[in-house]
Amino acid sequence: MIRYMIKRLLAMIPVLIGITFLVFMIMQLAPGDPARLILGENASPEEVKELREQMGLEDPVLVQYFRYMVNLCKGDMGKSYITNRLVASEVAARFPYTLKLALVSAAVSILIAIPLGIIAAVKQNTIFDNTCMVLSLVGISMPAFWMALMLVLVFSLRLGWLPVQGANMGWRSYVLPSIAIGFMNMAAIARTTRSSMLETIRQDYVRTAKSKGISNASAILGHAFPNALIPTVTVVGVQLGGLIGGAVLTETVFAWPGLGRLIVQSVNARDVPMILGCMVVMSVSFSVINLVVDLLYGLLDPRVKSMYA
Amino acid sequence: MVIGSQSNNTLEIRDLVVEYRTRERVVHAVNSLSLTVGRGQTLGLVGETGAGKTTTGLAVMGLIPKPAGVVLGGAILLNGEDVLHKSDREMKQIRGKTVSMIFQDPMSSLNPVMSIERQISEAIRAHDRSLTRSQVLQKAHEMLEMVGIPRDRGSEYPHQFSGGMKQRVVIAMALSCKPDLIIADEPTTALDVTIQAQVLGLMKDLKDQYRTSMVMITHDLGIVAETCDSVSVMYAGSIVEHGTLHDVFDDPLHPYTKGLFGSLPRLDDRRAKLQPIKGLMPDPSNLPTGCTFWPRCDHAKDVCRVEKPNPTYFGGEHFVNCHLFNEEISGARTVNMGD
Ligand SMILES: Nc1ncnc2c1ncn2[C@@H]1O[C@H](COP(=O)(O)OP(=O)(O)OP(=O)(O)O)[C@@H](O)[C@H]1O
Ligand SMILES: [Mg+2]
Repeated sequence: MIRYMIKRLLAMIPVLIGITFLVFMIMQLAPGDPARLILGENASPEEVKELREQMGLEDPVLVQYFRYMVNLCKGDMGKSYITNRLVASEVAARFPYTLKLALVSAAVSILIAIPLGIIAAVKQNTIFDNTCMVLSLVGISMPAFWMALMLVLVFSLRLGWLPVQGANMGWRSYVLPSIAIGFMNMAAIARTTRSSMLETIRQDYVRTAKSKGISNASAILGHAFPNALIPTVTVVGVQLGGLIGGAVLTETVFAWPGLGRLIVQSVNARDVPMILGCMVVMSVSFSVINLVVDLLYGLLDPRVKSMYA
Repeated sequence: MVIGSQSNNTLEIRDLVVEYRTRERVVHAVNSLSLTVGRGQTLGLVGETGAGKTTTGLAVMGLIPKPAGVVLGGAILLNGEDVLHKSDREMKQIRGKTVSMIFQDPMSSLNPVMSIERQISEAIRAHDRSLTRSQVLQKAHEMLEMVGIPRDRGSEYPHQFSGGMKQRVVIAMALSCKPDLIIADEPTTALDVTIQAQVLGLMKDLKDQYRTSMVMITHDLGIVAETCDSVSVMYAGSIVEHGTLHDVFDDPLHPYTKGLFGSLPRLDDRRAKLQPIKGLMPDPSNLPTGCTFWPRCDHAKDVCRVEKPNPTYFGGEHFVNCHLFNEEISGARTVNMGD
């Protein structure tokens, strides 16, 4: 297990190199000269050229990339072109907001979706089941940013119950954004839980469990559910990954001071080091989530665990 | 219906009727089936695939799959008590403790994500809450050793065991609360011949040790001859002939039984498998009127097509449900001898 973890962590390195390389190259294609951006429209071409040399922008792209990676390994992500602040500290200040929002919405959606999925499966084809499935279909089909706008419209502007924007009103600030991002995940998780439960409930081992004299509920929760969790965890993993990427839209709608909004601001300002910094942190989080999900498989399914060795 | 007649029989089924209702059709899986298993006795339940053997076992366990399966009538008496009218809570006490079932397929009968010692422990704890965790585990390990699996393999998972070992785990589980009755549904079909012999020997030893009664569901006449005291022959959901091992092997009466056992089996030549019979089992969603066997029967008469036969007894417990014997016995026998 430990060896497997180390192997997986090492495997993250090429992924990160690939991502940073891609982002680096795309930023090269973007129009606009950072030196001109910093010095403003009135600077003379000589001044711009001098700054470009100072910043190393005159070097070949690969050299620039190599320099960036070396610095990154030292924990130095450069300085913002716009504010001149350290990218590392800016990203570190914003990341917890994104992470907290992701965790809250993930926790809430998992805690609601899994019981709903189980009950829907046990009460298959009842009104409860049908209602859940229709709602979840709506949830899956509705874009998160649209949902966010509607939530703000109703609960903040019309009813005035919850803040419109920002993260400075304690738990109340979290309610709408986490519903907006979490609803779709909740729908997907509930549907997967239901369909895998429908399958496992009919398995022979559940019947065997009942034949031992344990209650129906224990047979379902103790035998059918642990087996149904395996496909559910896959979906949860994919959704969690999506939470990080999806933050870009919702954070913009809610003016949430997280990485997603920072990235949008930085792209608008062509603040290359800041964009790179955000991308690096996001892709590391994404890989870590994947790793955690893979390790969870090992805990849930002994057949997978024995393959790790 | 006489309830609580504290009989000598561990299991008595009377006129059991079970249907499966699907959207398209109604499957008459068990039709007015009656059978009896005496204390400490083993009854062989033989019959073609689809005859309703597993359904009968599941009905005794109260585990007919819902909502498709419906028990329409009859009585199932376990130690004289009717289990068809028990509440869920009462059934929970009965399953595993009074009666347990060894299911047809050992490969899928064990939970793949739970260690086998936990799966056995669960059965033990379900019926004895006073035991501590370690006592339960201890007992589970004893059960494992009894079926010949070293206790230190208890923490392993089903995929780490061979088919034969899984079947032994299933047997250990079924025996763990020392039930009065075991329903063994083709416990060895998934195993190769050597392992099959081992498992059967094991079940016989354990049965003798605990004086358990048993219903042995099988296609294999060799197994019947080796393990059973009496035999019930099942056709299209009901019993067509029943008798002691000797009665049925050496003096089969019903044309179906004769067909099954072919001309081969004498008690000294029991190695034969069931013989195929011409024709097919009737579609259980569209059973013929009268005797269900007449479309395949060489001796069918007019009465067979209209009327259900009643049992005719031939001394002791040997009976046959066939019109050929409903008339004057000697005459019937002559007819029968003539083939
Ligand atoms: N869950 C179900 N839904 C609908 N029909 C069923 C169901 N289970 C069994 N049946 C039908 O009931 C009839 C009896 O099935 P059962 O499993 O009891 O036969 P069996 O004697 O055990 O056969 P085998 O020797 O193949 O195990 C069959 O026609 C089968 O198709
Ligand atoms: Mg069967």
